[in-house]
Amino acid sequence: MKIIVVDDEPIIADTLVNILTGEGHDAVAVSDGKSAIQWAEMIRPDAVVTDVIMPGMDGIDTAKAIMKFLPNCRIILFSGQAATSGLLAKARAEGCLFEVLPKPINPEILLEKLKVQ
Amino acid sequence: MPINHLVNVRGTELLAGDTREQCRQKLARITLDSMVQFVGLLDANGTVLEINHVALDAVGIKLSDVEGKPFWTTFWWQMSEEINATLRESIRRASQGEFVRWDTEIYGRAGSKETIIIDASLMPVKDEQGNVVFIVAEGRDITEKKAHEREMATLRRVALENEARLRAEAELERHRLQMSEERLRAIVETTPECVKVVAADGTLLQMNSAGLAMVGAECAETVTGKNVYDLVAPEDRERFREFNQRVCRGEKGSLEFDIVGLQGVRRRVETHAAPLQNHDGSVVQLAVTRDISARKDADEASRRLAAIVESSDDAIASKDLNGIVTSWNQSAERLFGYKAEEIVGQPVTLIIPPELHQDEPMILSKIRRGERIDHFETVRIRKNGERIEVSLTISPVKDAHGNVIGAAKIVRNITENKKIELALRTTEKLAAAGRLAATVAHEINNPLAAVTNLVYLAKRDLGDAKKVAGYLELADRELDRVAHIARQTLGFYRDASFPVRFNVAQILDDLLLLYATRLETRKIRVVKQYAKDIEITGLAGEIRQSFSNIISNSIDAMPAGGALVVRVTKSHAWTNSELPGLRITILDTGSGIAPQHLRNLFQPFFTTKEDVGTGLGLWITHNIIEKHGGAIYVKSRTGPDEHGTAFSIFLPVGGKESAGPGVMADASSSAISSGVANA
Repeated sequence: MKIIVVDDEPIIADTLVNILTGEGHDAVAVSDGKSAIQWAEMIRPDAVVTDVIMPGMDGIDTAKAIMKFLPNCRIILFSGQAATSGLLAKARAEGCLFEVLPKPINPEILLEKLKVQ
Repeated sequence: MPINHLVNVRGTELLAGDTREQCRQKLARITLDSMVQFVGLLDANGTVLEINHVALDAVGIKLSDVEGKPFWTTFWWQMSEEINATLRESIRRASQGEFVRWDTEIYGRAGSKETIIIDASLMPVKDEQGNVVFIVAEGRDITEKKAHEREMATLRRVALENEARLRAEAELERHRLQMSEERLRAIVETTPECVKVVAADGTLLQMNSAGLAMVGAECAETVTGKNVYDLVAPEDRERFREFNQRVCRGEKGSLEFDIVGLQGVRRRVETHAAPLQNHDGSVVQLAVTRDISARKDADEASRRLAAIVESSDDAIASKDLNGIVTSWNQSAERLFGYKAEEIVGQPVTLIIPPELHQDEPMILSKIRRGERIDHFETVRIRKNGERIEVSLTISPVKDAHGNVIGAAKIVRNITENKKIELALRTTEKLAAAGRLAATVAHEINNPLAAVTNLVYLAKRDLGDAKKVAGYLELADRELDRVAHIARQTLGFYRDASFPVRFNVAQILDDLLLLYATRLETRKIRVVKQYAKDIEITGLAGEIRQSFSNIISNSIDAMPAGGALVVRVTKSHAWTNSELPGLRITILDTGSGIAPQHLRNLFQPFFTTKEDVGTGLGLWITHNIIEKHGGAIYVKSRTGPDEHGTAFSIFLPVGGKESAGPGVMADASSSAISSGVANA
């Protein structure tokens, strides 16, 4: 499975990529929304795992932009901040339903989520 | 011896043997001497030949003293040169045959220079040829007559003078009467009140201009001679008729009634009447009548106001400039437990706690200057000794001339409000803790996420010791981050209740570190400008909270980036240059605060961020600053080019105690309100 991991904290993105690669996925780490979209256009991933609160483009806008050209791409959001609820409500009002996993994310649970299709 | 003399008169003896001729001579002599007037015989040149005894005795001389001497050299005539000259001229005229008569003053009392007035005459005696041979001098004492005449003249003059004076006085009196009558008429005419004379049957005999205006008559003729009852409102007519008759029977009195003028205007009037004796002996009513419609309206208005005051839920009282209670409404009775009759007339200090008595002269002096005291929060004492927290609004009461004569005071019991305020403060503290927890959670969640992943990897690669060592190394660093955040966060809850000396820069740095992620995320540039030695004494946790609220607002105001300037300088209190302290300025280049919001900025529950804010943050900040004896100002701009907000906080170096009584709750509030107005 081709997966793009987006987090402004490189250590989180890098360790996640390490975990996903170990399970046989083809994962790449980026640190902001814009890079994620560029990489998605190039590698056309099956899934995007992204943090919500990031400098510049946030995770929800990034996910919406990717879904425009990859409607079947799996989006998994994770966030540790309460402010996320406002962004999600805004997305919901626009017709986009997202699943958000609390941060810190348990790698076992993430892997389970990716297995379920 | 036979009688040798028959008669002896003043030394002249008639002797028995005298000849007939001798007898005649002697008789002439006796006759001369027995005359009461002065008589003398002069020759034509005025030489004395003969002077009778009366004249000689009068001045105490003898005939021999003057016989043969010119008459004008004799004693009688030596009074003055003028009198002497008149005599000489008279003798000259008499010697030429003229009978000369004149009144003159001469010496006429023996041994003194006392004078008498005589009616003197010189009668020439002629011989057959008509030549003057003798002059008979005669003098009649008319001193008394003259005196009498003078007296009579004086009396006559006095009588005339008296008469003239009396005439003048009478004239003056008549003039005065006329004047005072005219003056009276002028007064009656110009008085703004109706003056009228009414006969017992109600006929209007006289009425002044004010009266004519009052009843809407153009001239006196319109109403005089008519019945005045017709001008009285129908419902009051009977009462007025009785009143008029009572006055005409000799009573004084006053009456309030309505009149309806000739133009149909109704007025409420008050009349004061007295009986007046008319020329023909009949008694009529003299009345002064005043239009009290306006006063009635004013009375009505003040009664309405009094009713409002009396029924108000706020305690309303008034006092004079000596602090003596002059009025006390029902709510005041309920609030303080004193009945109006108990406290009116008593000093207002009765309800002021002893330790606050010194506030009263301050309040009174402000009132005397005509200033108002708004929402002054203080403590008062009930009759039962219970203390209540109150908010006072005190306004000067002025008389019609604008002089301050007392103060009106509205007292609101804020004991309940204070309890609610305390609850709100606790709520905000909890909310602040919640916000802090969210921030901390985010800060801690990131390293936790990293550690979680690293633990997973370490377990997976357990056989590869080198890899595991690397994961653990990274995990260790992430755990250090967590520990650091925890240490900072704890600072919020330390030292909650005791003032300590702390460095303001340290607190600001900790806060900026805490908000570092939010600041970086939003690309907000932070500029720090700290002066040296910026320590103050206070409740560090609370001060940190007050700064935190402002910095957090600033970050929210700059979603698309900007600059946050945090500056600390040494300063003095704005209201007291003697009080040293620090000025902390927190300035952002955010969207700014709309002018209509500035006024409410420090009010509880005021928020523009409905989903995330409690509306208590800046209210808490204000409270904390005030509690420390400081003040806070805000300036803000919302223009397209120039926008942003600057909070300026003053904190005294020594905390609340150093601020002293000069910085009072209301003083710092006004500093805030003026700051807002300038923003």
